[in-house]
Amino acid sequence: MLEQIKAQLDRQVPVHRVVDLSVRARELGQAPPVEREVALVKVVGNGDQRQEALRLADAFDAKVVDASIEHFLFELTGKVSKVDQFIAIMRPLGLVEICRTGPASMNRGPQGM
Amino acid sequence: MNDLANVIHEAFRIAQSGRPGPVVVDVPKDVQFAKGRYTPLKGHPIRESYRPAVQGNADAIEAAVQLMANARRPILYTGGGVINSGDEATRLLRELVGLTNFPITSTLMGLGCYPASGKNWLGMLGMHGSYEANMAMHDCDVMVCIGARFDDRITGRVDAFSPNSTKIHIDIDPSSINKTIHVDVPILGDVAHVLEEMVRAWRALPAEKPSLDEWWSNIDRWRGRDCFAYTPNKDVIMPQYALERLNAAVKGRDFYITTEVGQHQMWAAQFFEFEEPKRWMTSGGLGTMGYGLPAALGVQIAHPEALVIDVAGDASIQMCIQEMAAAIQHNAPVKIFIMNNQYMGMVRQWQQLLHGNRLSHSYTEAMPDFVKLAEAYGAEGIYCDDPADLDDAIQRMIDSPKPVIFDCRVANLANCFPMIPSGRAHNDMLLPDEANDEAVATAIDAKGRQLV
Repeated sequence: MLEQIKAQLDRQVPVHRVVDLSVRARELGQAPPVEREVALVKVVGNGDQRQEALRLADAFDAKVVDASIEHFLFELTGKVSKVDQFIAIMRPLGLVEICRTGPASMNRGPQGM
Repeated sequence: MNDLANVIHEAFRIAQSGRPGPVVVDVPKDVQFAKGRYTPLKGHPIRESYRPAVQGNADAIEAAVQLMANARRPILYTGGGVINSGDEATRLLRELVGLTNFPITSTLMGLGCYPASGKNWLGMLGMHGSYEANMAMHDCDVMVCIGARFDDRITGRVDAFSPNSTKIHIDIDPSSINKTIHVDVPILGDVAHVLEEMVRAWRALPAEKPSLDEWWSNIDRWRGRDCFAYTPNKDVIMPQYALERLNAAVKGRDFYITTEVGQHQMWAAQFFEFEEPKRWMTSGGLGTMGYGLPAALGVQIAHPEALVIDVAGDASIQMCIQEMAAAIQHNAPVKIFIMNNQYMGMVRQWQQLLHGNRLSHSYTEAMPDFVKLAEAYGAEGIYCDDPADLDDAIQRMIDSPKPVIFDCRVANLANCFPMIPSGRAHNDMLLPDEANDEAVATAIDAKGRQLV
């Protein structure tokens, strides 16, 4: 299945090269590749809920990029699993909108792709 | 603006290389009106992406030839990739068949890469392919797939597809390999390049090889089944009869056939005998009704002296009928042979097989008068509904210096057989002489219905 996905990607004209970073990390004897995703998360609420959202955002190292007395807009960077977790926590606290970039990734070490 | 020349050159390179096909170049309006400098091809860098490999892996080719040399029931399953690869691929394929004495079949797109008169030819395979080709595919021990892609019209039920064979697959497109059918020896490369190596390796083998006599005697038995037979009728023109006569009339001429999509397309594939590649233009897996007439125009412009016939259906031809004006304007005397049964016949056949013959929107109550239509464009119209007059009418069509629309009225409710109903295996075909009403009604079970 992975081979099929790679072949399908590779035949797209604008695609320069297809590399499976996890496989490459194993070949190089390295830890899994670095992976980061950016998410914007809007949470609406007031009172205790609002405070709880801010406290948790702080714990996740999320930045407040926009706010009013009714809402926060958080910017979060991290692994996909961290973003997933943050979203799950915000859901009961008044989450109204999510926008995620999808992961960007690169192998560790000094060598290029 | 100054990128345009490179983009156009790049588009042509991509269109012609790898798996050849159309490329869309979108030129914005401001670029269309701008002035720039044209730079010739050799000044341009070739982009890093999209560089299909043409040379096959030598070890894989060697392994394939070893398998072929030890095969007792081999088959060559060829496709449009042979034709796309070029004339050299066709020549090498024929040489390989001559050397190995393997039976050869082909997909709809590959017709002509091996001559229909050749002694190893089994006819087209697949859903409406020949009994002998499908039986041989099912029972073979080594299958050599050359430039074909295990399409669902070829494989039928995937888990019952050629269950006891070792499969070799030559293809230039890595995404075609192991897509629907697992193959044992994939060879990534261009057909001509790979076949050249295969032929060389085969010649280097010792002469002692397993006998294929038993395999050929099986095939001869299957051939004896005469799977394209139909019941002749002297009152109405049977569609198979019409194509049989048309095939006889074009024999020995410099002819090209294009088709639309439907029953007429399958019958044409069954009944025309192509000796050379690139004589048969059909839309294949794209299934484009309306393809045949514009395709015929293109062929006629490329080959002004040749006989170019668009074998059409009464519904398909009306998809692009306005191109009759282009035929007149550019003096392209294409012949449109309409197999007119007043139905979208393949749709009706499937409604009969899959939906208990509850026909919906497949019958055309109000058909245009095709003879008058031809005359309105300035072309010639011919009508024929009598088997006795058919040969003369076909001759008139061929002799006419003008574009011709031939309204050939054929039996309305004929079905296209043989057929592998959806969800069935290759050795489980519905043959014309067995296809009574009950067999047709129960041909496809609930599971098969989900597959189509």
